[in-house]
Amino acid sequence: MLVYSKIAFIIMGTLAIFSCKREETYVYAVNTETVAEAGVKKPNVKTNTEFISITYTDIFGATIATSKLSEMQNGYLAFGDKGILEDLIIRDLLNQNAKQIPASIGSDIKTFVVDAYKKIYNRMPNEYEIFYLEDLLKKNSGISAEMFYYALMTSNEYRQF
Amino acid sequence: MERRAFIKKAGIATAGAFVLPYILPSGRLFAATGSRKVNHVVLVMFAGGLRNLETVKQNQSNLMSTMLKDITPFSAQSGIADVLPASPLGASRLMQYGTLMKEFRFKEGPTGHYNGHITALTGRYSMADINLRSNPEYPTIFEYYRKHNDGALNTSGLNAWWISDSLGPYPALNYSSYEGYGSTYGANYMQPSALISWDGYSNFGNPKNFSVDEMQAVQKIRAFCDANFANQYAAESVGVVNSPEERQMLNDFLHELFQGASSPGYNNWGFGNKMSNDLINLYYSEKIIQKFKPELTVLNMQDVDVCHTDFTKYCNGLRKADWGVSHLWNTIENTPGMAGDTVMIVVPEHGRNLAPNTVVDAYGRPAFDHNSDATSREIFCLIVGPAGVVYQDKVLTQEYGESIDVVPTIADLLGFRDRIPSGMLTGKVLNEAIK
Repeated sequence: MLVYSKIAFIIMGTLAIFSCKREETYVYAVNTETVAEAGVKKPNVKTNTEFISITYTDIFGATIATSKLSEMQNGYLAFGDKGILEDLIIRDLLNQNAKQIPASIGSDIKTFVVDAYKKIYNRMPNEYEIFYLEDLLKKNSGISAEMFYYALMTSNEYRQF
Repeated sequence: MERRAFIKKAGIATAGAFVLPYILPSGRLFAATGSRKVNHVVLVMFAGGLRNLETVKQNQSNLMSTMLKDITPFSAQSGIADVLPASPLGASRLMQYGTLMKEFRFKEGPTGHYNGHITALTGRYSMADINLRSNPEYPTIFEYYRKHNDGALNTSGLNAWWISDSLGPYPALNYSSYEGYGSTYGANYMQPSALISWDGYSNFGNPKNFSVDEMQAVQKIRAFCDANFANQYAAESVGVVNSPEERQMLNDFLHELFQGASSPGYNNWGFGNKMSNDLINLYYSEKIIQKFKPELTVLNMQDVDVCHTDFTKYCNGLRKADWGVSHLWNTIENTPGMAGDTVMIVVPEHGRNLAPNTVVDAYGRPAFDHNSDATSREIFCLIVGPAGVVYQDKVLTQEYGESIDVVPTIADLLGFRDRIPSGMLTGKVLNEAIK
């Protein structure tokens, strides 16, 4: 009987000792992740003002002055085929020294493509786009960063948002 | 058996009789349903609001002395005394080459510039607000032409031009919002003084040039990007669209114009620094005509709208515009491909009030608005062209013709009127002028 009492005492003592352990506090957080929307949804056509001011900002990294915007809008409105004027606007801006686009593609072509997409299209390229363009740039060393940006900015996707 | 052979041969012959006329020497599969009378039409909107009193009635003497024969020969008056360069037509007057309808009418709708332009371009009177900046509700003559001119084919946009002397609502007049028409059939548009200017040159005139190889690489990247976006992009949402080959031609043309604007031969009409907006618009319209030889060209002038505040300037503007129209005709008649094969229609969009407003100019002359009184609906129309097509040296003094007749007349001249769906146009062909 005494033996049983001792065993019970030991068990109870053990439980008492372990049950006094301080409760741990867990703090949950979310890692920073870039979330890209699947596919491209840009149903809206940029207005004249939006196209000019966004293009200017994308090339110079600065906001266009109101007077400059007004000048460019007048010329833009003065021709019916907007594609021709948009091409001229982009090529004229690319011809200026103050442009803020990469001087070269660099050795990390994938990063270059991703950065260009984020800047010009305001989205991440999908895996197929990265694969195709990375491969294209690897095989065509004559393609400059300027040509790549020019191609993206004169594409149809750039006309919409 | 003989009877069967006969039927077979007769059937082939009959089929041939129907098919052969449609295989044309030009390679076109289908002839136009209507026969063309000329291959080029130029419509000059002598706009800004002109009163018949100062034009065909010559109350201030003949202010249109290159276009109209004298009732009262031009005489210099205070403030209206500029010596203009010699008439581009020499001793001839433009009206000799066609029919002048002195009592044409803008019959319905507000006498606003926008409404007047819409009416002349669509063949429909418009009740639109004068400040509305939107595409016309009904198809324009450009869309009728491009859609119906050549059967199922969409006629090249390089053959249809709208050239305006100011911006405002006018860039929107090269196509309508009408279902089944729209920008796909719109005209190429240009407002020269806003584009071929110092501002225009500084923003569009010095583009980065890529080599042919570089452009091929660029196009490869762009084609890939466009293919990924094909299901969302609507080309016509950004206006009239030309093919890549046509765009290259237009690019080259713009480059020529920018280069030309800084060359010694620029603006050599003899006006020096007195070139008006109207004359500048005519100058570049001639460049377009010489370069592309369009089948349908529409241009406007509007300097005389200064009449709201300055009647004297209105008269001076009228004289310059008159000179410019004759210069345009002279250029057409000296441009291979256009000469002898062009009809030019000159018509104001509306008139001006009989009663003056309260403004008096520096020479003591009262100013006039256009508020839809009877006088502001009185205009003229001059149609000139080859003797085989247009009645020569003819003047109609009785009321005949109205603004909505311009579109059917152009459609008739270019041979596609029968293809325009019935009910779209309510005007008539001006058969008193057109043979």
